[in-house]
Amino acid sequence: MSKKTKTSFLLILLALFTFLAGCGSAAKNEATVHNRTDVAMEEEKTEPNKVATTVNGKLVVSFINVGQGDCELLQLPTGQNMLIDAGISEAGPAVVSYIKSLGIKKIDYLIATHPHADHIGGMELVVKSFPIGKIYMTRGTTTTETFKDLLQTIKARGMTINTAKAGVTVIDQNGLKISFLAPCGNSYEELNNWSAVTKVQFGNTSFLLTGDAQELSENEMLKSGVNLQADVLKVGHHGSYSSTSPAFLKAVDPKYAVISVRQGNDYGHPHQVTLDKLSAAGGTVYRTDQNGTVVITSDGKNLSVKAW
Amino acid sequence: MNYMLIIDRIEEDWAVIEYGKKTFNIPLSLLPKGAKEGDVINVLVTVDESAAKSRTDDIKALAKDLFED
Repeated sequence: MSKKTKTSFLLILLALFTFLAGCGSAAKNEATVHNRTDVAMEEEKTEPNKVATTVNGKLVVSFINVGQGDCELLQLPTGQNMLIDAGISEAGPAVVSYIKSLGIKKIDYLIATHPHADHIGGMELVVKSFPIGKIYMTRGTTTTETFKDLLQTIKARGMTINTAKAGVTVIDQNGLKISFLAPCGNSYEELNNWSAVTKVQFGNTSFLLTGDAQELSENEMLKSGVNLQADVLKVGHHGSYSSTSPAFLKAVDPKYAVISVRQGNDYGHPHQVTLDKLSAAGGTVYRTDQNGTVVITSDGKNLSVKAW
Repeated sequence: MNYMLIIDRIEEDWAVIEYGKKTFNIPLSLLPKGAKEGDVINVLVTVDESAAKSRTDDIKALAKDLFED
């Protein structure tokens, strides 16, 4: 964003807030603010979540609290935006609201890690709500209405899908590189192992966003010899014991680990064995069920974390 | 409207069933062995009147013995 554009943007923001403060009734304002910060599901702990601010030249990654599911918004230093997963279908409106609250008008890159409902449920609404640049998915498909409707929505909009797989680079410019490290193979029994695993390198900082990739996929990534080290790890499969194998965790060696999970879920996520492993590895663990939306900002050298 | 019941995924002892684009859990033990994600399932629910009658009688008798007045 040029300096002039940035100034105009700030002026528009200022005007908007002045308008809200001056014209809207108090009740209306409250409803607006509540709506855009309350990203959690109704039945869940609804602490107000922190909303990331757009910082030009920085990478801002929001691990949006969508309850039991995954959703990560990446505001790239280029000014573009990337969304990885969108939670369950009921989370769709909150995800869209969060994105809009940041003034984002376009999703330049939309990534579905794999077609389970807790990852792509809210995505149809995202596709209907924003202009979308490129869409990436893996070749693992399923039979659900959720997935079919998403594909039909994409088709109806005349869009096509790019294959996400190990070795594919999404962006590589000005010190920002985003690429897929998995899936490494062409056939998996479990959809979780089809998960697109995204590595984001910005300057000296890095993020590894693993979807629900399980030990089998983790072993394939280790075997591929790719650099797995990352400052921030989005812990695989909501902290299930099926992921975060010791060798994989050792290779990633994260400073921060984020678990996206709903409090009191039926599956026991995150499993104690995973929490123990993360604790032994020494990094700081953030959980969306306890910390709400977790926002990690990188200036290319240092990371800062906003969480409750 | 009747939606299809589709297994979205298996999580631990639960099958996560998609019904009308929302999901709910049913115990995996109620599903045929080998049922897997992506399978479309049919559920037939019947009311077992004689089992209910038998339980009603049992529990009424149990409660009767426990009331003082």
